[in-house]
Order: sequence, then structure tokens, then C-alpha cells
Amino acid sequence: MKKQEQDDSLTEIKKAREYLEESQKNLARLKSGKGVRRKLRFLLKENTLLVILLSILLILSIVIPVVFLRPDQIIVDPMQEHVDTTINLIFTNFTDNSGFPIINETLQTTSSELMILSSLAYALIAQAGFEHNQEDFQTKISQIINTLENDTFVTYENRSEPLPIFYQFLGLYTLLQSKYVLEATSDIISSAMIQNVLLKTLESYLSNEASLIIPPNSNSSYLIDQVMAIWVLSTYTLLTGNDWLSGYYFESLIQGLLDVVSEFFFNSTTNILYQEYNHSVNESRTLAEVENLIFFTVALSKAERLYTYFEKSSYNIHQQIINEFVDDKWFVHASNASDEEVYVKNQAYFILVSYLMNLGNVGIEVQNKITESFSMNNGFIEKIGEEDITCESCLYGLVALASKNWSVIENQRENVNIPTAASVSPISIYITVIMMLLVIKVWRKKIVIRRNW
Amino acid sequence: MKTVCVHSYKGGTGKTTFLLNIAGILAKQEKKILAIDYDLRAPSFQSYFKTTKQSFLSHYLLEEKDVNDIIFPCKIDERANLDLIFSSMEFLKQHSKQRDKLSRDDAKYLAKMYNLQKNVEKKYDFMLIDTIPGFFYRSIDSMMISDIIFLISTPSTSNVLGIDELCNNIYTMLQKETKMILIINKIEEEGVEADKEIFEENLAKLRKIGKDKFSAVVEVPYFNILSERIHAFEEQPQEEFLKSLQDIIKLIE
Repeated sequence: MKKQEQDDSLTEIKKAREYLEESQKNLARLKSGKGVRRKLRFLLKENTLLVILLSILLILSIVIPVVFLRPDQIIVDPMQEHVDTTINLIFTNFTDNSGFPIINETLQTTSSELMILSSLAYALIAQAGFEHNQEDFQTKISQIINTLENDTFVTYENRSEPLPIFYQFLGLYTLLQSKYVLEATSDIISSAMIQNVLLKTLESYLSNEASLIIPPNSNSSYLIDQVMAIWVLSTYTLLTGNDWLSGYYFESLIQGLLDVVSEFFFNSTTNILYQEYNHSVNESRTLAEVENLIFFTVALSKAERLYTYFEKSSYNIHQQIINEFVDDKWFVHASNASDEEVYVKNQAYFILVSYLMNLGNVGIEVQNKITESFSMNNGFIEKIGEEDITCESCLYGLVALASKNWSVIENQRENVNIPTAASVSPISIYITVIMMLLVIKVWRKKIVIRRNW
Repeated sequence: MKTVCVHSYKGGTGKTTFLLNIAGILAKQEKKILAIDYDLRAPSFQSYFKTTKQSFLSHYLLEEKDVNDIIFPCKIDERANLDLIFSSMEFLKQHSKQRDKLSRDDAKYLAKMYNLQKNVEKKYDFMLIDTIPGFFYRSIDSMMISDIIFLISTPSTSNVLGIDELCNNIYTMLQKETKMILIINKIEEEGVEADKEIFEENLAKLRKIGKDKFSAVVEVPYFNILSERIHAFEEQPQEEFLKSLQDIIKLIE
């Protein structure tokens, strides 16, 4: 009996010792902290190697995309001097007493088109990181936007005709850009204002029968109007994240417009784009000039990010422009690579579009040409071979100079989850998979430990 | 906050009397005290403080009640307050035997006591825990979370042997930071133990164990007859007893 008691006692003591040993581990875990902190400390203590490995992978997953896949850094362009002299020229020679831009020194009037272009150029320059008088720009942009907004862009008070549809959409694009310049100091451009102008534009020019932009009471529709609508609607969707407005669902509207381009303006057999379609005789007319293709390229590149479909990619069209309209010296011609029509406007828009499509190698070549051949007398000439400097040509010069830095900012703003080089790179996928496996391993280990409790 | 646990090898050593009197003296010094009856085998706070409350430590351990719902303030006099947690036999009914294998519940109870300690540590100066005598898991829990352990022993033969076992198997495994104090309660027992020689022999053994294996050894006069009373608040307190307790308090402050 006494031996039995002794055995029982020894068993009790042994159990107590085991319990104490186990409890010491448990208490150490408890003392190492609560919740996530406790688990992390526990992990660090009992899985040091695993934690070090995880930390290295975590750091690599951040560092590799940042170091190797980062977008071009925004640096202040050496074009600062060009920008300064051109702005000075516009402010001294091409601005009226009220501060509005004027067409030229002899024709001292303004126009909606010029006002839209000026506010666009100022907005791009203001965002591109050049040193300038920010307040001056903001005042001018506000003044112009106020005047235009009163007419909702559709008609300007001194006009006999409505604003061309191209400028109507360019005006909308300008509004979107100006908002980023003015939002810090003023609420002059509200989201509601942009939505109102967008709605009014769609109501005025979008055909009820088809997804087609067509001037009122016209038998013809134009490629440039369709592509401007596609560009603006895609940009609006990408920048704001809103794809719906008062009954208009933008992604289906954009796809409808692309279908219209395909049906009326594009011959897939001959690979030819036309700039006009006459609906009364069902005929496509006039080969598209470079301006049409430039805006079609940028429109398509933005629409592609919204997963719409067209028979050709934006890069195909961009390449088509280089093949057919750009000569060996990187001059962009209006109708074909051998004509004499080399305008600053087309250079500027092609630079802007190339940078927006991350085709900086093309953009920089054309930009070099513009500073070499169009920059004259502290401004920019309108056309190669002539010496006319107008407010408009200077503004195009500014657009060209701003494009490189501004396009980086513009592309970074887009809200939609667009597959980027960083997100789909093999390195990122590789790191993600390894991290997932390690997390599963740690999680399973933790469960086993908990069961031991 | 300091956590003090009072343990013994066997019952009847005056563990609860010792704890509550220490609590009483500290409370009279305006220290904030929480005393916990964790002697689940023989809960006895009710003998000192009449209560009709039906919220016990077991409710907290079994996650039926929050810690704040089981703490009861007890006003001893104008200035002194003592907060108490009572126990009932409920818990023991459900966990009457130590299992052969450790269960997750065992870790849970340790965690619950640790969390209780963390919850109250800013509110009190001392948390005093009365434990189950012997090698019980819940006693080990109390000792694990304590800064100071009082082991109370009488000079009986079984206690002397048991203390030795406790020292060799449990106390030596506890963290070095834990302060161990042996309290020798000089009870003269009846029968064989009443033999003066045996008493002196056991007392000598206890003193040796205390000297070899504890941070301090304190002998207190026989205070079994003083049980169920908190002498610091008595009109005619046992001065000798109180003085020995005050000496002990100096060791823990």
C-alpha cells in the first residue's frame, strides 16, 4: 500500500514537472506580447531562419520593382529656357488687356479654340515640373475656364457657329487637366462641372440611333470626332474611376464608338483609315491625315486599358504613322512623308501621344526636332519653311516641351488596375509564389504548435 | 504590481490566514490589493468574508464571466479596501482529476490567469494568490506568474519531506527571478508529531532546506488559533504575530 502511494506520488510529481516545462514555454509565448506582436515575436524566436528568409523576400519584392521596373524619373527638363522665353512671348505679345490669349498681333481677338489650347498648354506645363509662376498660370487657367464654362463649350458668345466637336472634346480634356492644377488653390473646376459639360456634349453630338458622334443636321460623321470622344471618355474613366454617368455606360459607349470606326472609317482589307463617312450615300471619304491617326492612336491606347476591342492595336497605328507620315529626319508630315506640310501642331501632338504610350524613344526624337527646327525668335513657328509665329504655334511648342514629364504623371494617375510591367513581371510572380508557400508553411507550423497546447 | 503566491505542500498550514493577514496589513498601508482564492480544492475566503455573490474565479476560467464581474471590493475600515476574488467548488467538480496528458485547457487556464494579471496590473500594487497545496497544475500556474512565492510549512514530518520534493522538482525549475521565501509556521501538532525531539528535528531540517534553497526563511509563531480573523483590524491584535508579518512584508516591498 505504501509502495502504491509512493508510486502515485512519483507519477504526480512527474506530471507536474512535465506540466511546468510545457507551461514555461506557453508563458514565454504569452509574455512575448499580444495578438500580431506576440505572434511575430514567437515567429522570430522559434523560426528565426524562416523569418529572415521571409524578410529578405519581402524586401526584394519591394526593391526589385522599384529599382529595376520603376517608371522614368521626373526630372526638370533642360528645356526650361525654351519654356521661359515662349511663355514670356505669349504673355507680352499674344495676351490682351484682360489676360486672354489673342490670335496674333494684327488679329487681336480671342477664340474658344485658342482659349482651350492655352489652358491645356498651361496645365501641362504647370504639371511638368518646370519652374514658372504658378499663380500666374492658375489665374489664367481659371479665367479661361470660367469664360468657357459659361458657354458650356458648345457655343461661344461671339461665334456664329458652334465650336467644332474636336475642340469640344479637347476642351473636356483640358478641364480634366486643369483640375489637377487648380484643385490645390481653388474649387473652380468641380467634378460636377466636368460631368455637366460631358453630359451636354454627349447629348448634343451622340447619335440616338448608334454609338456615333455626328454634328447636328449633318449627313457626314468624322473619324476625328469619334476618336476624340474615345480618348476623352477613356481618360475620364481611367482618371476618375467612374465608368457611368446619368445613363451613359462609358465602356460600352467606347466599344460602340470603336465599332463605328471599324465599320465606317476603316478598311481592314487595305488597312486604310478614312476621315469622313457620308451616311446618305454610305461612303467613306478622304484618306485620314496624320492628325486623325495621332488621336486615334492615343484614344485606342487608353481604350485598350479598359479591355475594349479593335482590329488593330494602338502600337500598330503608331507604327503606321511612323511608316507613312514621319520622314527620316523625324519630321511628322500632314498627309504623307514626302509632302511639304510639316506643322508644329502635328509634331506637338505626336510627341504628346508617344510619351503617353511610353514610347519615349520616338517622343524624344521628334521633340529634338521641334527645338532644333521650330524654335525661333523666342517662340515657335507654325510650319517648316515659314516664319510666322502665332500664339497658337507657341502654345503647341509648350505642349511639346511639357509632354515628357507630364505624361509620366498622367499615366500614374490612372485608377483602373491596369497590368503593368511591375505587376506581371516574372520576378514579382516568382516572389509572390514563394511568399505564399512560406506563409502556408508557417501557418501550418503554428497550427501544430497550437495543437500541442 | 507585484504578484505574490502562497503555496504549501499540505493543507492546514495556515496558508489562507497568512495571505489575508498580509493583505490586511498592506491594505491598511493604503496599498491597493487584489486577493484571489485559487485554492479550488478547499476555497475558504468565504470563511473570512461573508458573501452572497455568485460570481467566482471558475466563471472567469471557464469564460463565462469577465474579470471585472468576479472582483468584489471589501471595505475593511475607513481607509482600507481590499478587492477579492472568491472561488467555489464548481471548477473542481468539472476538473477533479489531473489528466495523464496535458490538454489545451491547461494552457488556457494559465493564459487566463496571465491575462487576469495583465488586466489588473495597473490597478493594484499587489496581487495575492492563495493556491491549492501540493503538485497541482493550477498551483503551478499561480507560481509561474508570481514574482514572489511564499511556501508555508509546519514542522511536521510529511511537510518536511514534501517541501524537499517541491524544492527538488518544482521550485528549482522556476525562473531565477522568482523570489522564494519559506515561512515556518511553528505549529505543535498532536500525536507522534507532538514529540518535542521530532519537532525540533523537523524544524532544523526545515531551516536547513530554507537556508539552502530559498531566498529567505521566516519563522512565525503558531497562528492556527488565529485563523479566520484579519488581525491588523482587530481591536486587540496579536502584536507578535503582526510584527512577524510586517517583517515578512519588508521582504516583498
